[in-house]
Amino acid sequence: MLRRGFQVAGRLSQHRVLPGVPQVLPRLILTSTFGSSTDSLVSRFCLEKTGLKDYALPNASWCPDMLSLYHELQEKTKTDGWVKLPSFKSNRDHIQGLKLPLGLAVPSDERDWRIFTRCIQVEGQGYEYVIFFHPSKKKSICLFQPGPYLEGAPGFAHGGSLAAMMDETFSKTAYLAGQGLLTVSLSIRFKHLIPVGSLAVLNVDVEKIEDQKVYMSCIAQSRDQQTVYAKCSGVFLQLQLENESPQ
Amino acid sequence: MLRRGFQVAGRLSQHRVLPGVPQVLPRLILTSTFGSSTDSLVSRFCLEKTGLKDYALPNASWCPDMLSLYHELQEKTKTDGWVKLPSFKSNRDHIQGLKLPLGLAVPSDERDWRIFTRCIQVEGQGYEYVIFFHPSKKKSICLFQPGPYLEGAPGFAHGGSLAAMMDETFSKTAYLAGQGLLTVSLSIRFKHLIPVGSLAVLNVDVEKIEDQKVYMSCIAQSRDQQTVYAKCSGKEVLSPSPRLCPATITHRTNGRKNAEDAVPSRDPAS
Repeated sequence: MLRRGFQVAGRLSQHRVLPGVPQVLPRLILTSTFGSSTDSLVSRFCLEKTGLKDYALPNASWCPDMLSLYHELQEKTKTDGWVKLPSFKSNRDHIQGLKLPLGLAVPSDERDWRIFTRCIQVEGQGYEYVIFFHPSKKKSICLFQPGPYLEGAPGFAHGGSLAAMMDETFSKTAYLAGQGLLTVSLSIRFKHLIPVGSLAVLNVDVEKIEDQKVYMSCIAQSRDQQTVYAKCSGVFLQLQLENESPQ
Repeated sequence: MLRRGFQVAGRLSQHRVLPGVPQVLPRLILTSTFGSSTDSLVSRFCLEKTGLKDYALPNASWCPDMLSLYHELQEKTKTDGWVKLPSFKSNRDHIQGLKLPLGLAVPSDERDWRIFTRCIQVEGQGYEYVIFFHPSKKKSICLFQPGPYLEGAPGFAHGGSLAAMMDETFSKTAYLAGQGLLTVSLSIRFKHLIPVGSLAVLNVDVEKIEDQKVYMSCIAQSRDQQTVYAKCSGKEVLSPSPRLCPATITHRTNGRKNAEDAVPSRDPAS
């Protein structure tokens, strides 16, 4: 099976150690470990005093359900081992000092780059969300409130907007739980429409880490769990970010 | 299997004619047909002179590949039966005079509603795309160019942005090919990253229409087809009523007073 993006570095035959993976990788695997522990990944991810704006904080557009569940989970960050993840406007801000491996890294430029789920900067109009992660349970909870710019059927969130929210929650979970980096697959079964402006709670579990892949499941439901909006499974490929070359 | 959103009107047991579909529907089904032909759906969808801005037209941000493939396909709209679909800022503009069935319709208001794939209004920064549809072959081609606001891994489009583009292409295809209305499932296998600013060509086929569901497949690749970005299959559910309901008719269902309504914000009891 072809790993995502690896053909950038050239095509490979099936009988290599890892089919589809560029020649450089076996050496990386022998000398490296997927050894960065979840705790060290989380510490690096959740540095304080970055000077960057954290968008995963309450604002006036958050509905009462979202605010109250946020506060419940914030309490749990003090007592139960949960961690609130920061969320910057650009994914590049999350990986300062690191870059994509395998020649995938592209030169930086001055354009206004935004991580897709922070593409709309107007409060309440696009994605409002916050992700809480539990390092030892390897679980995440994402509170997601879609705004009117995410519309599909009138009054309801576009199926694709939920797909992207699930992909992003999987992405951060896979990274912290096991250095999962790129989406291999997503499989979503939709059950009910999410009304724009209401809260959807996404519960993500890491099912297993095997064969260089992180396997996760997600259920998106209403706060009272009476309505299931969708279920999803996702698989991410483990890859280590490289250090940026010193200038 | 539960149809998306249909529990709004109440839970049903398995032995009804159509599990999960409100009680009022069997009568509708006897009297209605899924009869709106693709041609009539397309004509209604592609009305000219709407006075609305069509975003599925070239602009300065389109890369050369996108422009040239667009012009090739435009030629085919004259000779080979392809149709270029208009794309308005809001999905509501596409269904003027119609509304969702089964009590799913919500009152309109003056907020700035945008269809998700047109959420970013700045040229070239978000989604640039155009969909061509072939009514008799029941195929679509979507030309998609992701901008820097759609980033995931640095320099590349977020997987979720492609998922949404596929869902939207499926959505318009299912609607025109068979009145498909709501997504039931999406299953995507990613192969390669799409560089921001480059063209991805999404080819969608309707595989079959069966059991009130439209089944489609999609392959997203580079223009020269040398790089496959992703493959996807999607199912949209057909509306159990023959069409979106005319907006002038009040649609009543038995389920409105049901405490199990799945849309609490519209339930006066909540």
